Amino acid sequence: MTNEKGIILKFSGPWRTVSGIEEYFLPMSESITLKELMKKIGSIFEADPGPRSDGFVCLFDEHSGPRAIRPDDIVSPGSTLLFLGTVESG
Amino acid sequence: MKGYQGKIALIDLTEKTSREMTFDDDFARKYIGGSGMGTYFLLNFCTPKTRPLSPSNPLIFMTGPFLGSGIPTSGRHQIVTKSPLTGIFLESDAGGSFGFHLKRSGFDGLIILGKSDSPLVLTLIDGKVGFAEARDIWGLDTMETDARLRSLYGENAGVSCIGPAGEKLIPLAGIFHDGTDARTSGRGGAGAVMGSKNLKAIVARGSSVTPLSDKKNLTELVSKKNALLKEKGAGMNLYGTSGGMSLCEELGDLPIRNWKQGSWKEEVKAITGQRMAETILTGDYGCVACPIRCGRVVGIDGRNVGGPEYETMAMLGSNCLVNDLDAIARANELCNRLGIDTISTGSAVAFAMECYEHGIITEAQAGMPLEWGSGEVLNFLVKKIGEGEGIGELLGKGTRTAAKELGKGAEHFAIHCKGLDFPAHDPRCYKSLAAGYATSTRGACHLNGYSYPWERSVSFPEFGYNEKQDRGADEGKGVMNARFQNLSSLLDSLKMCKFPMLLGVTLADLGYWMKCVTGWDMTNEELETIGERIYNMKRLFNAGHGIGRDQDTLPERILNEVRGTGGSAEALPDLALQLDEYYGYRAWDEKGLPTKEKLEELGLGEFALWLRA
Ligand code: SF4
Repeated sequence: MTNEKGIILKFSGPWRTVSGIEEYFLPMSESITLKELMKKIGSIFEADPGPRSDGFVCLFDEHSGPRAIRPDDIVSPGSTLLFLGTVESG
Repeated sequence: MKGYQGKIALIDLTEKTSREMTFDDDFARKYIGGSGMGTYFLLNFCTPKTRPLSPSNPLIFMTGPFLGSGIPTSGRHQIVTKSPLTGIFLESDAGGSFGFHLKRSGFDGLIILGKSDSPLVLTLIDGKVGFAEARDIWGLDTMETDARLRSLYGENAGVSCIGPAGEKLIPLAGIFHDGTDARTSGRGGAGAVMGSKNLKAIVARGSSVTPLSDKKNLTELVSKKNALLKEKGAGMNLYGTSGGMSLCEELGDLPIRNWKQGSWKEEVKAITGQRMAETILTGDYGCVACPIRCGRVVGIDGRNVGGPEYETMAMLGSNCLVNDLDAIARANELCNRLGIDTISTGSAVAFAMECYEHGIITEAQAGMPLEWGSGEVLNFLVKKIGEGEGIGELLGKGTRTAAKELGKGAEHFAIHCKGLDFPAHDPRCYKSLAAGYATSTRGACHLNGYSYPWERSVSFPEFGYNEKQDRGADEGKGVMNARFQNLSSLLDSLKMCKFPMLLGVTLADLGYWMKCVTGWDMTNEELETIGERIYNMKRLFNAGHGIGRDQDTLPERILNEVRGTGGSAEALPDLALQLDEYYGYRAWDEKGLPTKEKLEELGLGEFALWLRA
């Protein structure tokens, strides 16, 4: 463990396929919009999960649960972002 | 005895008497609870000659060992009876809180027989059974009934009730729980069975906690799993099950225009869980002990009520070409208030629209032009069905019967198996659903085997499915179905929601939890065998009603007509291939019936008589 600041990314579904991993720590000391963050992620993994309808992103906190975010919302260091897989249509 | 109250209340509504039946560890380990015990009692209290709406048809409510333990998603209960819609086996799994209150009242379950001579509320309070007059609430809708009974018996009581549709014995009537949140035993007409007994509602309340074998260990295991489920289920929490609408459309799964159309790409965007989150959503809802909370709460004219889940959104929406979220939410509320199943109701509305298109139902008969895509028509027909009036009287009998009465080729537009309408997943998209719907014990049901998630996105290594299965292949789907049907029967007996199995809960977890609850060491093999035993019991009940391979079939439209466009444009299932494989794996005979040897092997020899019925 280090005290490096950053964002934890957790991938499932199509995002998991694109990234090839389940979890990734992205060092980052400044806040950033989701839109900009997505560009960074795209360049790191050299891919885009595409316009898949099940590829949602949300902030997650183990106590308060998930919170949906939009492209212009700010993501701060210390956050966990979930890249969601399929939403089960039971 | 750990994990159980060890008591079932046997209630006679005719005489207004009750007695307690007790059971021991051996019985519990063999049949578990919920679906398993419910089916056991159905086989014992019902006969092939029992008419579904007669006083002698038992209406069985069962909990399971997981209820009250805090195990994730374990706040569920099972209702088992003979269906007035299909005439065969019916079970219905409902979430919410009623099962929790029922078990806390001191009983693992109820077997309700007879018929009261006037409207009645059955009460189960701290181990005591009571009978209360219900004349003043007869006629109220399910939400009004719940509110009235809670004001009398307290907010910490569980209420299970019927609406006006159940009172009128409409075969699409369900049993409803949790008032405005509307957790439902929707399918197959259990509400009509309750209505036929003049039973408006059941109220359960109590503080009887069942002892657990290893509470400390269980608490630790549960808290770890809750954290995982919260994270993995985040999408379901944010968007509900209708968050999957667009994906279902994209894959060619979503029912569109009574299962005839292949794609609806732009229109579907107006009726997704994501759209709901941006517009009418006011909150989420979770069944007892659920960390996922997939239920929706929406605002309609200032009222906060249960919102449409995926099945409802698809059956009342895309299947009728309605892409008006407000109209669907209103139709959903109307179904819930009147007390009818949203799936079969959506199917009946789409059926009526197609019959109208082909001149089989006229405007004069219907009361208005039944145009595809009209939210006004949708709400008009839902009201008619729930009130049993006008064209609704015919449609409320279900599409199989309605088609027979209409004739003129209407049968082709009735999309059902054994009288139960299709839920909103297509066997042309997920091939496993072909054998799944055809052999499902209550008629077409996606939860009876719940096999398709393993063809879409997830793996289940304990069954050897290390990656998601090819959804377009027929080979292997017979076996897959049988195994997941067994798993579903097990979950419906433990009383646990099926969603966690997609999010990281394993068969081994169920075994550990069972050990902590009851003290029993159960291997994966024993758990699977229990599921198999329970599934065979349900099939036996149906065998006694003349069900075999000849009835295990699918509607013509699904077997032989392609969707034409979209993600499953040219796909058709090979049902015969799947069934051969399925019966072979189950070691059933060429007629699709359990053999005596199989029954002996599963410890079900006492029920072999049902094969000759
Ligand atoms: S996941 Fe949804 S249906 Fe299942 S127990 Fe939780 S709230 Fe109820």
